[in-house]
Amino acid sequence: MSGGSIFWIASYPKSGNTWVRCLLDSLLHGGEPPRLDKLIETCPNGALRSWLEAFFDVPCAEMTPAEILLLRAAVYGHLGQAGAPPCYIKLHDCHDPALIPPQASAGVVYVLRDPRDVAPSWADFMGRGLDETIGLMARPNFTLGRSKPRYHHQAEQVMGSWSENVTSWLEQQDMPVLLLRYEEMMAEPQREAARLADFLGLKADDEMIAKAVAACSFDQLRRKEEAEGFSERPDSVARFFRQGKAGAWSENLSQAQASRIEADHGELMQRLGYAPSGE
Amino acid sequence: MSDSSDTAHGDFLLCGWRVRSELPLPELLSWNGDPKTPVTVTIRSGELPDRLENAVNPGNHLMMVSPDGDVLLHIPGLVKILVVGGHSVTVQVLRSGDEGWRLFLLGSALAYLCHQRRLLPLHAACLVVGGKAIALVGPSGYGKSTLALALSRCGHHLLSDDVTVLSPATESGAKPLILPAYPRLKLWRDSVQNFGEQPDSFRRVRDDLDKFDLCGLGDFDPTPHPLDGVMLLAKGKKTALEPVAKPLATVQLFQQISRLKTAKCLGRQQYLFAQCGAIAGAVPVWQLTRSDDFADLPALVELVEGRDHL
Repeated sequence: MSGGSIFWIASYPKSGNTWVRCLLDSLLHGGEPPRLDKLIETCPNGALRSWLEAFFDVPCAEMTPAEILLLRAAVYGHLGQAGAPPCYIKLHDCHDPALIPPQASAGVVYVLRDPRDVAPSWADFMGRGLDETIGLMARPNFTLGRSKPRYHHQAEQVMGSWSENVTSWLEQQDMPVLLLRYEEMMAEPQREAARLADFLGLKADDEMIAKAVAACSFDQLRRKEEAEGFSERPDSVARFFRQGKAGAWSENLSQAQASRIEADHGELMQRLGYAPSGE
Repeated sequence: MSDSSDTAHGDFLLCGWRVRSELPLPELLSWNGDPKTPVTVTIRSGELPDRLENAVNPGNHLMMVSPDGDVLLHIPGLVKILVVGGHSVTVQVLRSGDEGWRLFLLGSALAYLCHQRRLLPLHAACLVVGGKAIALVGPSGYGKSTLALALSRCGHHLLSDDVTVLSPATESGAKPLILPAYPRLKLWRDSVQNFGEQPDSFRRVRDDLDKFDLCGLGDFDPTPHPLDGVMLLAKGKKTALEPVAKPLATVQLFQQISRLKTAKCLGRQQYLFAQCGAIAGAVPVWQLTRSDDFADLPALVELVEGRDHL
């Protein structure tokens, strides 16, 4: 059941979500370069406390996770009601109908990336070790932001393991899914951007799509970040747009680390066409 | 959690008001003033509707404002609070045994009372530093309470944490008056630990949060004070204190008004903007830049204490 106006841009972290948001911003503005400082308006992070608070003018810094879930569902339900203009919200949560009201949803763009490439990128982003990160990616019901000893600008998000996150979105029946693979976006950006525009119902001809793709190439995004900064970059890392490669895991992971990810997520990886390292 | 059943309900002191409550309010000081002083605010327990009739903001079903200026707040699963006329508060607790509802009474509902009474509630902690009352203004997560505790530990009196209530001056160029709220500081675990305290020896503000109520640690002064200066907290790599020009200070103060959207629904936007301008004209406003590193806290305290700024 879908009939709402929210398109979710969902993914596990470091899978290309921001890249898709950049493409979206560009496609919505005639293929112009994406406005990094406006992504928060074009496609806000649905767990951002300041955004959630501003919506109903209800403070959430001292809400329990259960209360925040109700608040988030209320915000989404309101934003996505039938007849409202389309809007786009970034999520890293697993699909959960209690959080994501089916009646508010128009569809989901799920951005998928080889978990062996996710691991080094996410480890770097969090400032954690690779082995620890690989462990988090396998942890059932893993919740981002739980038990934080300090204020966190994002509400806690039940991301699940990598497998749980992917499965929850690809197998839900509440709304149509567009699966975008990081690897294919690298290899065939024009085709994948056209699929994105088509799914979202954006009026974009080939020329505009080509313009958006060029404006959102990894090099352009990196240059833009260097020139203008990016508010979503945590202080702990030098740059948000880090490597922008597909398949670099063979250089970044030890064989044991790659094997561990394959053991943790092998069944789903195989189904999705991510071949084991031995093949 | 502290057992609230042993707390006498009755009359309390909040922002200089005599508050009569049917519900326990252990965060507030008891009222010890003149017994003839009339009760300013009454807090009752009662059933509340889900919606307000003809709300001026019909799209919002968690914070509703009626054409008469009544405000109904609904925190799903926890509490509903109705604030009427700047003097009457009705509370319906939706989950018994969870005292977290008082955070919303002493936060949002206090801000609604202020807006209805044409007072100015700011996201700010406030202390008397060297005889001068300074508001440390900033959104959640900017270190207001941590800096307030650090200053409090250096002997400076706490006037408020989280919400600072200002009574605007009636004469042009005069300073607004700070109405001290209640003696509480709420700090997250790593901040409490930084002060060498054991977090678990304090009450958690919510069972599910790693944030603690350091009630009693700060030295609270309930006397109203004229505001002498404002420091707008900003995050950065280095500690710094720089003056902010009046136009920018006005806008930044306005953005830090507690429950601003509600105030707009109450038609207070222009009034509040003018009051922020008046404050920026009457007292110096600085930007206080701080890093996330606790090791920089003493330098930050020194900056706030710097007499030449005051």
